[in-house]
Amino acid sequence: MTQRLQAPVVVLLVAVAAIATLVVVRAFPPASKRPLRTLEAGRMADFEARFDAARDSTRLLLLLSPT
Amino acid sequence: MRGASALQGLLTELPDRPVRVLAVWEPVLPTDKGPPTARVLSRLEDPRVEQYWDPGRVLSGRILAAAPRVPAFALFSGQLDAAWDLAAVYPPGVRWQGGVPTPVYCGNPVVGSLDSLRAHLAVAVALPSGP
Repeated sequence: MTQRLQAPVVVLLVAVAAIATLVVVRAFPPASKRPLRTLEAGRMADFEARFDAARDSTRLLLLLSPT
Repeated sequence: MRGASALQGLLTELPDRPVRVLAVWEPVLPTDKGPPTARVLSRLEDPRVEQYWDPGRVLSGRILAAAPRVPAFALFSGQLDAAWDLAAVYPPGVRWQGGVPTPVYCGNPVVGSLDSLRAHLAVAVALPSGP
């Protein structure tokens, strides 16, 4: 009786662990792959320099809300 | 936030175009309590994108200040206290001198501007390199 119960429980635990892993991975991609620079008044010159540095390309300025 | 996903889709359509995207996230809505999460940032996964968090809406302020002299920004002139959900296109060669440069196109909202953005990005051609 106990052994018959164990198999479904193990399957359930594995499924829960897999779902939890998927949720965590999707919610928190590796930070190093998504660098986020802070833009402040004192750093505008750096931002402008980045804009100019790419002047061989078409540039797109995007302003967005995070939510 | 939908604008980011839409823009990523556009970049995916144009994998070889010489385009650089400077994506600036700023707090505008009451729900904007802090910088974008990693999940939000991952909506713009293209390597041609650089992402910034602008907590003081510095760039937005510069655009509002430029609105009276830059026709493309005129839609932000006056009543708004923030310029957002916008995509401004600059052709090769334009440099940032003084105020915010004049774009050849400014779309707002981003999701509703995809056709125009596509047209502008599709003709993107890099300047010939100097001697």
